[in-house]
Amino acid sequence: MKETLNALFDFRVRKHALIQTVVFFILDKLILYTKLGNLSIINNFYSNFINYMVCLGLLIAIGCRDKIDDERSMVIRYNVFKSSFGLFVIVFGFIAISPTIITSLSIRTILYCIQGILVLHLVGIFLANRYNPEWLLKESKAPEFHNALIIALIYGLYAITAVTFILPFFIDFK
Amino acid sequence: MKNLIKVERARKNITQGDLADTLQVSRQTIHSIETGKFVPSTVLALKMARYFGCKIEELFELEETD
Repeated sequence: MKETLNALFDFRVRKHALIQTVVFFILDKLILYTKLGNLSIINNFYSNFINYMVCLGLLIAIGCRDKIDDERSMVIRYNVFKSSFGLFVIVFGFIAISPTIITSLSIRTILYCIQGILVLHLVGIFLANRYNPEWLLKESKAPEFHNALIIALIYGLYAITAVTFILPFFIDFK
Repeated sequence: MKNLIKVERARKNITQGDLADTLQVSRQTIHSIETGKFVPSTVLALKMARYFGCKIEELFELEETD
């Protein structure tokens, strides 16, 4: 099992995963902007399936190790992951607390958001490997006020969510 | 953290690529350690010291800010 996973995330697989991503991305655009999209069976099932395949290709490309996978590249991958995950939490936290957005969003848009974050993650890894930014490689501890800021942000999100769900019980918006 | 890897490398007359191949890391890793951007693990630091035939304290030195 471990060997199979190792083979899946070998550095040589990345190229093929990116080719898969590009092919499915082009296919998605073809369905969107040509008459192909008018066929209901393609519209409903395949377009989502294609976007899932784009996400899968990007995920495999992200998981692939470098040709020489040493401690520096692992530190880069971990730190870029932390940034991307933070971005993911912010984007989907914003979507989750906005009732107007969450009800009007289609699966396609959510998948586009995920794809955007995954692409940014890939670009981040590439740039960090290329330019070795000091702030990413150096060990550091966030100042105290940063922690307080994040805790305040989390509780702020809780408060907004609570108000959003409680308000309709007291105020008639019609 | 300051280090004398570049000096030791020049003394041995080897390139970053040669050192990277010997230590089984990438050339970029050697470059980032030399420029002080990346602090290597204990294992890698010990491997470097052994390769250059010196003590680890001679190769790496703590600064006031560390």
